[in-house]
Amino acid sequence: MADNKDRFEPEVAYNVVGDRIGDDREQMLHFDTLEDLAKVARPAPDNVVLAKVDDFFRWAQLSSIWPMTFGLACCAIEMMSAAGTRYDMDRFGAGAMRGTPRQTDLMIVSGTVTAKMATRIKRLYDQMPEPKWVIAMGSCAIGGGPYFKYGYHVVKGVDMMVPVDVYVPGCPPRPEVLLDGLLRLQDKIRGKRGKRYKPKWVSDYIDSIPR
Amino acid sequence: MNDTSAPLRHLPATREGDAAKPIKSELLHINMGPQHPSTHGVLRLFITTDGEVVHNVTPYIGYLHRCAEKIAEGNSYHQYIVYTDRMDYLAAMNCNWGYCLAVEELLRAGGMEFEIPEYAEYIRVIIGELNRIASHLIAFGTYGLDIGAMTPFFHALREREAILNIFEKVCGARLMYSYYDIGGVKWDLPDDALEEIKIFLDLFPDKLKEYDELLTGNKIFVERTANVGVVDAATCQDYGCTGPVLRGAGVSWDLRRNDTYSIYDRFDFDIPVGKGLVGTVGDCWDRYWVRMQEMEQSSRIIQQAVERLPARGECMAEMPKNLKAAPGELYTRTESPKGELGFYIVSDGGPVPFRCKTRSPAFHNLHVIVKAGQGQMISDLCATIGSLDLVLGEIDR
Amino acid sequence: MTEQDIHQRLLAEFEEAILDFEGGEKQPAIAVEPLRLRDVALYLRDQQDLAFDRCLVISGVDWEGFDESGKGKHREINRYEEDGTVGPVEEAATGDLGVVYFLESSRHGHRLKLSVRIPRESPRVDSLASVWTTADWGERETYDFYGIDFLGHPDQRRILLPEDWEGWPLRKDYQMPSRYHDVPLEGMPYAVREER
Repeated sequence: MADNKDRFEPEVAYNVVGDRIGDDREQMLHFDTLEDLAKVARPAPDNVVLAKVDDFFRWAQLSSIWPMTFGLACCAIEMMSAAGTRYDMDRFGAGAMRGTPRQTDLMIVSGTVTAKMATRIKRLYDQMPEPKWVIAMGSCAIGGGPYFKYGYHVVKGVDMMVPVDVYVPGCPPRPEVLLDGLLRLQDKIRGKRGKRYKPKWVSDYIDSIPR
Repeated sequence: MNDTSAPLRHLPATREGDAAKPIKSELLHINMGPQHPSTHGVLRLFITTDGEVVHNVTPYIGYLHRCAEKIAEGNSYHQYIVYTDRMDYLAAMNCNWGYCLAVEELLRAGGMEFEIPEYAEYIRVIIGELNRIASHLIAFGTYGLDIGAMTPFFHALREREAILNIFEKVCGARLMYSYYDIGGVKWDLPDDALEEIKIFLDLFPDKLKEYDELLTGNKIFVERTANVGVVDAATCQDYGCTGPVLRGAGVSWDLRRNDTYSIYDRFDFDIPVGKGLVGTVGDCWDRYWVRMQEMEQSSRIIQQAVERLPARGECMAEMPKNLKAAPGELYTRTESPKGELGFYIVSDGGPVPFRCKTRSPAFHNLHVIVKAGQGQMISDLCATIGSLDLVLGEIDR
Repeated sequence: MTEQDIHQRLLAEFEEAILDFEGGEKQPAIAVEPLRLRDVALYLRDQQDLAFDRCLVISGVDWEGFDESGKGKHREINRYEEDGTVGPVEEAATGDLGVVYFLESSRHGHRLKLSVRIPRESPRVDSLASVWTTADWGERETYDFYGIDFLGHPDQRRILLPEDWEGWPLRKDYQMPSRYHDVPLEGMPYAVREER
């Protein structure tokens, strides 16, 4: 990635506690004139925006993944928490959760897939328009989970029914892990790994946060 | 019911005799399928409606049937605790407690003598009541979502995050704890967890007032839930409903008082009972109100327990590693946030239970929708389902 | 009323139908002949000083392989092979099936456990759905798991499993299925998945 010459290095900004804020997309959004956009997109002095159309569409897709509310079991509660205010999924563009599959791109299968429900999952997957992605959340959706043995009614993994793009392990996975899975899906769409923030320990800067 | 034989008077007749023709209407069969935007889970309702008015509701369950009872026959007593978490995943500590209590009672009936340390009993009560508050918070938040109010959901999740933070300090997990063990609890409470519980108890009454401002007295909410989904006490008893559904219908029946277990007889708390303050006794608003009052009573219990917490000691009784229960069968019940949670365990002396059946409260609470849903409008049906506080993991086991 | 009184009342009314009685402050238990179950249930509900108006839970039990000696050496259900697939069930089962009803009186506060034992070859028993409405779904669930036919049930069909499921899962000789229509139910071990 470091030797990829097409990759631009945007200006970096830090907030009060030392975290890097904003990423390349946000930098691209903050411009007044076309020249400013060109400076961000290509720091070279030619000032011509030559972003590939493909990259542009992929950027649009990954910035606004609309998931379907497909909570089956306990993982649905963690998905709800991930969409809640503490671990906000909306800041990644994935906050518009839709009830109908016809308007969504992403199906987060959170929970155990049972034989009775499996045909419905396949049908919902078929009803989603292209391009579509599937995140298998939780160990039940990955491979049957704790119900692998003696579970006569449990399908051992949702990838028996639909093709899965990202597997998010955990029982249930923490909301942060689900967000990491979402970021990996964004990497997959983008075609290359995106920037990640280095985690900081809260205890290092907790005193500087005003109460 | 609509008068379907009246002709459409306001439209001009296009042909002769057209204005006098009656409208033919049929009953519509709608499927509120297993996937729907409401957060209750995979529940399918087959509704027969005449326009907007519901004639029949048939719930279809089993979309989350995870064979827990078969698994119980293949795993040992300790190994099954993990599966009890996943039944009622919103109140996992209470499910753990119910199962552990059932096994302990079975062991006692079989002659094993042990005593759960008092420190462990107090921890059990504190953590169980905290989880009751967390479960009722979700019930409150998602009920607002069902009615159409998005704000209470985020407020409820905020308090719930505070409680889950406490649980994470105590046992390391946010949702599936497996914290209770047969004979006590697994680990001791860390120091900062107790501090956080006290901080939470300080700020919680203000939040309850906030929720009252948001939903309880809200005119729209009252319009949508008062006099809706009325289930009277006799029907509740007949269908086996327990918990806030039964208490909302006016019957003062709480297993913590009527069939006391653990150390609940030492605490001073009220049993809120639906009185029909803004509608009829037993309507959706009453059940919602009972849950709000129960949250307040739970924080009262936790306050008393934290004050009387004995000195730090053992948190688990001495139990053999290879637990074998003496032959026998017993049904033990506890009060989970949804109602009466019971475990019927049959043992024939081995390390593995012979039969372990869960009496799930939401299973019997759901049954009453067959009676309560008749004659309502579809949106009232959504409100009634929300007020029953269903968790499909428990219904389907 | 103590459980001894209840036992005496029932013995007086139905002498030979009461097969067994077990006392206990928490859970007095009465074993009943299956043919008289409905009469006993109606009597328990309608008598004023018994007044068992609440049925808490209904459970089926498969008594096959129950170790009477108390050592717990019952037969292991479905063997699992190394690669995650299920081995075949070879032996046929011969034990009885049973249904257990837990009753409670909201007026007097006493509790009772009713149990019946029915033969495996012809598992039929009267339905108590018209006595307590709780029994309606409880019996559907017992039918679903054990295949016990409840005579007179208003709507006997599977409740938790799909309606065209074959087999009675909680019986001890149940063969784990490998498919349900197009849905594969066998788990593949991860090593095998990597190869594919």
